[in-house]
Amino acid sequence: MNGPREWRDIPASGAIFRATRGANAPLGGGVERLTEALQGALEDAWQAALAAEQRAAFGYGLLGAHLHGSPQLPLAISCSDAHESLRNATEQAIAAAGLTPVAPAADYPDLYPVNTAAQAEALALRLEDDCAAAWRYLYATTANTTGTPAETLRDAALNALIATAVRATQWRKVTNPSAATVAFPGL
Amino acid sequence: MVAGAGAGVGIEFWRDHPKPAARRQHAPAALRAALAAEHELIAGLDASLSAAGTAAAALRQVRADHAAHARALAAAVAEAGGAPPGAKGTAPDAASTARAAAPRSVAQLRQAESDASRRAAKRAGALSGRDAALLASIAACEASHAELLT
Repeated sequence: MNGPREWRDIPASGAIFRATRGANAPLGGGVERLTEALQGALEDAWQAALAAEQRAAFGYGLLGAHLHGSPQLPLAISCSDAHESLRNATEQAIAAAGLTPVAPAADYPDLYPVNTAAQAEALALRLEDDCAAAWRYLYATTANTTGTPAETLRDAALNALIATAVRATQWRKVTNPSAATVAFPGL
Repeated sequence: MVAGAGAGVGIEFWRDHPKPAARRQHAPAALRAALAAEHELIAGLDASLSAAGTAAAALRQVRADHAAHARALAAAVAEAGGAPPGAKGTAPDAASTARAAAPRSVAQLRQAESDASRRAAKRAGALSGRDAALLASIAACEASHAELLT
């Protein structure tokens, strides 16, 4: 059959699926069910999450140059690594599901200018907040969808939302320590 | 670009959201438990603030977030056809309040936030639609609390 690989193959392709429920269980319903479940809003939300991670990976490359010599450089490196890993894993998972991953933009003009360490830190926080919004939206979409594929994606989206919210707080501790958390990450 | 695309799809999501009548079948238990958990966290923070020293400002931030969670959850419980806030199951019982009222160290509060995040994530999995997304955000927030208190 020329359809997408079984869903059980997807978790092995990326770190974002490490904590998923039943990651090694067969799909059961067959690829038709998978394809149906991924149509429409769910696929759009998954692709939007990938686009957010692509943008974040680009953005950290942009801002990192302005943090050399800064005590925040290790945090920027750690966050950059996390986003690159999540971007790669998400791209592989989408492809493994028989879909075409959205291509990254050649440039992201809305991320500029970044000329100072303070601007770099502010951008890092913005990137994390934007990723939180994308993953939360994917979570909300999966929560309206039934079936094993949606449940697997749902766990991955929640893990990503939590991780990016924690990174956002790490940056807020630097940029605005008196308001280092937000009550509803992703909103 | 991403935010714009997400917002556009989001309109469709909210339009398609299950009506309250459908959610009423399964929402209240997990939502009430989540609301009670928020009250317990708030009580624990209130009992710990006076001895928190330099951590007091952070604890006040955390408390404000939990108060926002409690308001949102109370509204969700009411919308889902559950008991009004303050009714049985929506506020901590005497035993849990007594446990929470004991002052805690910052390390203990940090652990409580981590535990709360895990429970909220689990409760989110038992819900659907907007309620699930609410609990997911709360789980993320409580994980960030643990980071703040590190």
